[in-house]
Amino acid sequence: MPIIAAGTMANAKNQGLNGADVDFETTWGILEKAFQEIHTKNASALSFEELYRNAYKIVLKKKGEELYNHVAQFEESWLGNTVRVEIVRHLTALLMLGEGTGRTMNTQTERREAGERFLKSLKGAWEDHQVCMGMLTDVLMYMDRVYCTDHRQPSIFAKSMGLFRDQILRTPVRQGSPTLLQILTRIILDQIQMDRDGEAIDQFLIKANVYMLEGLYDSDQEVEDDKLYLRTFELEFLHSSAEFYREEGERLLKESDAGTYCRHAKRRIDEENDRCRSTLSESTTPKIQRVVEDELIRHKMKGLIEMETGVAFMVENDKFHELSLVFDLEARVDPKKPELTKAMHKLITELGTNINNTAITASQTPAQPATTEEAGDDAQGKSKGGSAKAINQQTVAALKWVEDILSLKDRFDHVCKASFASDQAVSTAINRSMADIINAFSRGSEYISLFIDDNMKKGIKNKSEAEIDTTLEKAITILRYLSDKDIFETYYKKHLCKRLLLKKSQSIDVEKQMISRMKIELGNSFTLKLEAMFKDMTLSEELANGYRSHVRNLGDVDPRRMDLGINVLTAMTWPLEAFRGAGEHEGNEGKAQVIYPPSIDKVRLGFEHYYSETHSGRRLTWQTNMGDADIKGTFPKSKGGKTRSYDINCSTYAMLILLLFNDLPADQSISLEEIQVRTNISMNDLTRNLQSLSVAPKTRVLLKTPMSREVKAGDRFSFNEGFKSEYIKVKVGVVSAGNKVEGDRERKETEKKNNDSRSFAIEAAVVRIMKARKDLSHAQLLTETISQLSAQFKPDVNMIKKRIESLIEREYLERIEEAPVASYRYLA
Amino acid sequence: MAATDRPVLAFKQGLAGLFKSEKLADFTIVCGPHTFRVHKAILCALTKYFDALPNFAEGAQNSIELKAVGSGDGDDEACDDPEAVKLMVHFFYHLDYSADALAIAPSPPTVDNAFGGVTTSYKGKKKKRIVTHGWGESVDDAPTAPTSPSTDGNMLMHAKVFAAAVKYRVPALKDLAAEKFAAAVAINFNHASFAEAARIAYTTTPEDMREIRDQVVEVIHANAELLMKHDVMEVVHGDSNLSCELLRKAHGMSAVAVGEEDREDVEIALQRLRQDISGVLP
Repeated sequence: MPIIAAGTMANAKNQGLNGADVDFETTWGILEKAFQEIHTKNASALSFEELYRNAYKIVLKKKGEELYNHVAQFEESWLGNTVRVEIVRHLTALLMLGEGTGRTMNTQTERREAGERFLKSLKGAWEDHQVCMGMLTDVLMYMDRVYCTDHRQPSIFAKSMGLFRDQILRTPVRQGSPTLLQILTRIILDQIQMDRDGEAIDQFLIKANVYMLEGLYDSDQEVEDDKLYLRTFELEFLHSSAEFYREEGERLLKESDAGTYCRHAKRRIDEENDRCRSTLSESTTPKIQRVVEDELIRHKMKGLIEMETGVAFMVENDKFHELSLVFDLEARVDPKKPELTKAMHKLITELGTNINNTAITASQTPAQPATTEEAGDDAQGKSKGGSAKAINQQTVAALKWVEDILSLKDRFDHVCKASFASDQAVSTAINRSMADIINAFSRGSEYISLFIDDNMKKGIKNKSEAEIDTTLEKAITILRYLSDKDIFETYYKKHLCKRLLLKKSQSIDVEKQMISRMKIELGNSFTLKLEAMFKDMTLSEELANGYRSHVRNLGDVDPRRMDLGINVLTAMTWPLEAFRGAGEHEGNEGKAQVIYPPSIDKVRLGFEHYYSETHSGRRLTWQTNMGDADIKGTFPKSKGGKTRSYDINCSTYAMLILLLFNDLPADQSISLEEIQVRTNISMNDLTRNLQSLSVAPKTRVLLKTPMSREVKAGDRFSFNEGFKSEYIKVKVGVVSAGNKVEGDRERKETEKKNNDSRSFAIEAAVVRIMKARKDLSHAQLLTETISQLSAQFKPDVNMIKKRIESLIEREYLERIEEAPVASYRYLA
Repeated sequence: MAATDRPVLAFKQGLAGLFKSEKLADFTIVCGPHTFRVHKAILCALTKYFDALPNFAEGAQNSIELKAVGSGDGDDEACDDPEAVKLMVHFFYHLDYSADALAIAPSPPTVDNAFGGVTTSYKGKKKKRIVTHGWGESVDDAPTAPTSPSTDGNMLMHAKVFAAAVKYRVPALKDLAAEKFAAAVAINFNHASFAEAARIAYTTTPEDMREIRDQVVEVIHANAELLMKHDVMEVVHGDSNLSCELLRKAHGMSAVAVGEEDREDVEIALQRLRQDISGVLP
């Protein structure tokens, strides 16, 4: 094929490819010389084309590996023999630094400058190396592409970076001394320490060195996590920082106040952030932050809060800003803010317990002001009803307790809002603590009800609607925390009952508002009975009006006929025992029917008749102990005067007593026993009423012989013709008409009654649950019962157990014998 | 289509215009007899090679001389064919190039050339078989358009352009040249320049760049008569890689081992295979 042979060209050279060993040395010679020039910054005269072509040629001839190794050797010796020597030359003065003693010997400035010189020389070496290797990489582009890719070698650039690390950073300066990397680390840490101490340092210089460490890897594989920076410097940095801040934090806790500490900690965190940005690496920011947070906050929070100038001090002195600093610090390390919430809880519990104790102490000391007044002051005070004096010390203590608790809550709410950004976790803690102290106080329910009572009776007088609103809201606020709502209901009913019947309430509208608020807050069932009371009142008014017009229509209009105002109360709804006197026992009530004089009895029978016409089948029981009467009393002329006439308002009993004297000649008297027989009023009520009528100076309508403070058997009473009063209207008070704190006996009674009603509630709940579930384990039954009743009160576990026992006895439930855990079955 | 095409077209025209007018040209490339006035920005857009220049003498002089083959010092493998460089520069501005037609026209579809009727008809039969084997798209139009500008038949020049593209790191040109080479080889493998093209492929491109090497192996494998040509045989004999790949092909394996463990086995087998081949060769 002659044509083809002629057409090919240069085929003869074919064989020369593999036999070019001699060529390598010459070609490498050219390259090596050029590399030398490049490293000595003398590259501008070199021809890139020539160098590239030569490197290309070597690789084409399959000498890539040799080339690679030669370049690596060249770099190694250049770095080891030239560059390192130069850097070490800058180091001599500094070497002592490593021994530690040098620290004090050099002045700060000298040390800083020496460090900077070293950093500068290292930075220079690194940057030169980068530039040179960039150029070498360009020349050896083809080798990188063909040889390194094929043989899975790191690129020559990466390889030379590894060489830099090994030759410059990891080689000891001299036998037995630290490596340049260790020295570098130490110098940077030293400079950072200077920065922390406030001395200006060259941030860019450090940054350049950090940049170098970030560009180098622990191994030649160049795994991201193996950056020399991460593997060496950062570890040291975090470690030494932790040590520094641990020490600083401890010192500050001892030396400065909490506010300063907070500000300092905040500043340190910001500083470290800035430092990472300007001097080190951004990637360190979260880590160093964590270190500072650990050392200055997490581990110190407890100490900080408990400092003398800590949280308690701040709250006490309204240091809202500093509190917010504490909050910010802890929020930074834990979203739950455990230490702060703990501190808040402790503080509230402390202050709250104080309030509780004060209230208990106050209620236990006897009413002192009363003793300074003359005899009968008590009764006389009561006669004024609303006056502040009249409320005895216990009631004052109750009102104070409520106000104190409310102001405690207001205070912490304000702290939470002003300093803690209304944080959920903290406000929950505050609320829980408030609930704890309110429920820890056994008289809480009663006191809250008394607080409302006091406000209803006089507190809201002359107040704007908005003010009233605030007051109601206060009551509701504190009520919200109360767990034993059933006890509160008992007291509230009792107090409300007295307010309504004795017409002590300032405004029925406000009363109703209160009820509707409770309805929203505590639910329908809670207010059901209270609402029924109001309903009774309305119905009674209609009834009384109806009766009045009924009487008018009879035509028999007797001007002397007594007018009747009546309240018909549903027996189950009203806590009538509230009117029973302190000395009375249950059971006395209603047993003895009082004897009415004919004029009164006529009216009574008339009403009973009228009532039974419209409401057949109902029985009316007269609660004479709760009524009151308006009597016109006429007293004969005294010397130089005229006939005096007074409107006397008194209890129904007092009226009955006074009516006896109508028929009695002025000079005669009746004995106590006689009065008792003729009225059949219980002795207890009788003495109390007689006391008001004959002992209290301002309402002394009767005269008692012998004159003494107490009404005793054998005392005789006569009409006081000389009675005088400044006012036309005279109100005869009866002891214990107002609402005040219960006595111990009363309390026991209330408790007992309460326990009884609780027992019923528990039994009802248990039966309800069992009816629905049929079989249930003991533990589950307990849990469900408690959760069902929690709206009303917090049931006592023992009480539930007793109720269950009782239900088993009565065969509502039975025990399941074969069950692995204690269980019950419902018996239909 | 038109909306996106038009700007591209305009840009291409502008690019070609720049080359022609040499307006704003700031760099000179010299290779053998040719001198090109070019724009650094455009070079840098397409190749890494010219990025490196600023640090060297060429950067200061704003010109580079790419050493041409045969310019004197005996290192021709590392030097460039001025024609290939010319096509490369042409590519920079046109994103395409077309090589000159072959010096000696390949056998036309008709049966009346130096190769004789027998060879041609034989080749025709082969072609069909190749097509039915689904050998690749470039083959499909091979019989009809041997001299079209995009698939011009100068496989030797395409091989050289391919090598230059690898050397000067112009990936876009590399792909284009490989495509053109494949198309050209498919038609013109019987041409005298095939042996040289094969040699270029196996001596001036890295082993792992399979594009044109695969073409050579495939064509020789599919057209055994090529092994009867002295010049082709000389190339096969001179390059152990090529002979090895052919042998693998002959055994129905892929030309190069893919798997890692496969590679080691082949290294061991390689020696034996070489001996086998040298035994077969004349």
